[in-house]
Amino acid sequence: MDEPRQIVDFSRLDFEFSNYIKQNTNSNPFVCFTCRTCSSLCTSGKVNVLNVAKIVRQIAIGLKDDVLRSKEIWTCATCMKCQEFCPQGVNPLDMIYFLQNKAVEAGMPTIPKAYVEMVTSIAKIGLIQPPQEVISVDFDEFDRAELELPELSMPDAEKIKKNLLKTGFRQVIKELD
Amino acid sequence: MDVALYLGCTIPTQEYAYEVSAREVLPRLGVNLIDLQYAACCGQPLKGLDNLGWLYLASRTIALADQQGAETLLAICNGCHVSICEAKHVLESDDHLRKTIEEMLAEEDLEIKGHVRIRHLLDFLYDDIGPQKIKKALENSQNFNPLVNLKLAAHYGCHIIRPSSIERPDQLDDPSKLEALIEVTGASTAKYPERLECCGAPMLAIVDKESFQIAGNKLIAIQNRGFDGVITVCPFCERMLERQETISRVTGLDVSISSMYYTQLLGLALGIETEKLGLQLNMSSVEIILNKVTR
Repeated sequence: MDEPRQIVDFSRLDFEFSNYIKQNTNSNPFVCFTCRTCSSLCTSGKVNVLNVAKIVRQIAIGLKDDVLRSKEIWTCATCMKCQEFCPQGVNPLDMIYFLQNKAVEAGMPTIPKAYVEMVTSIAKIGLIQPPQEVISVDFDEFDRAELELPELSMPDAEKIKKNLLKTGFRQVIKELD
Repeated sequence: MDVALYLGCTIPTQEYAYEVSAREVLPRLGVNLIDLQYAACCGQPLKGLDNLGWLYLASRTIALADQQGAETLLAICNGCHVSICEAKHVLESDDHLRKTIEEMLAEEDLEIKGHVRIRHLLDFLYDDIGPQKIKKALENSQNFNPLVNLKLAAHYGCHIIRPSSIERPDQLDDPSKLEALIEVTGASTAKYPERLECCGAPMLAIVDKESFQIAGNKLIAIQNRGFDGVITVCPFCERMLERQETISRVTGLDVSISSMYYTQLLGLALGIETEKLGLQLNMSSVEIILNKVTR
């Protein structure tokens, strides 16, 4: 990610947050011995958008704000390789999910718009998008009816929305209202 | 065999080819597809936004299947399948979260009974139906067209083999069910080094250029190894691997290879017309396969 290089300010470390992660999630940033297996396998790391080993270390030394504010935590492909092959059971993917959750809770401006649109659509119709018209290789347009697909059985989205508003999704649903 | 078909979001709103071909092919194997009613999103793409929001949506799908009396829930998307399986695991291992979810679902008159078996297309075809029975169905088909001239690469996708902390349709390190299912059609296959690499799709909405590079790297490797095409079992993977025009433009790689769903491949072997398999919607160089299978 093209973010300006900033020297880390070690005067604002948050170990409470790092300890909270250790105690309340499946991840443990403190047992990492920086072998970088996670980074060497990382899908997003191969195209230089995510440095997962760096994030683990940042959390271990208490750099909560830097991480929560970063765009980088949103570039994870969720391929789970870091999780599977970490020899120390650090579970970087669970950590990244947790950090993303916390960034949403904190109302960070870095939350990808695509996700906000998906959640809002689920609150409206239950699905991340309404049925689309698609184009064939010959530029003919097709929808479900033209393909003789049965009519979709749609859920009661009002009830779904009511439940979604009880979760952290309310932060992002609210933003579009 | 009755199964409740859960399509998720992407398949019934965009990836129609998967749905069309699944509805065409599975009944010929003796499967009775009963659509899961009132289904919503499985929550998978939004796990990063909020864990409880994700768990509610995934659990809701399980509760619907229970309520509708399904014995088997068939989720043919890798994302939906991992989401539902992980949710089931959380509900079984975390009493506090389970209670919260039960209260939310009660508002919709739903409850988790946990009776339903969760299957993906891959383990459903391989373990429940089995290659032998598929082979028989092919041989008994009037238009059986063994795809003997094809050499095809399997693309599993990440979410179907990971995480190993819960049961997945195939093995983490060395899955082999998709290869076995490809071979049933008469085509040949081989395990290649890039086989378990990600397609890049989950990054598409965030860093599109880089996600095309991920897909392009995998496709060009498959192409250079002499495969005629790549076979998928996930709508996100397939949509990503079909976007070869964009991939070539963005990455400078010269990608041109067939990519299709396993249900479409099986349909070709059964001798079903291409339009009934949704192949007219395929944006990859699908003619490479079609030219080799047309009799």
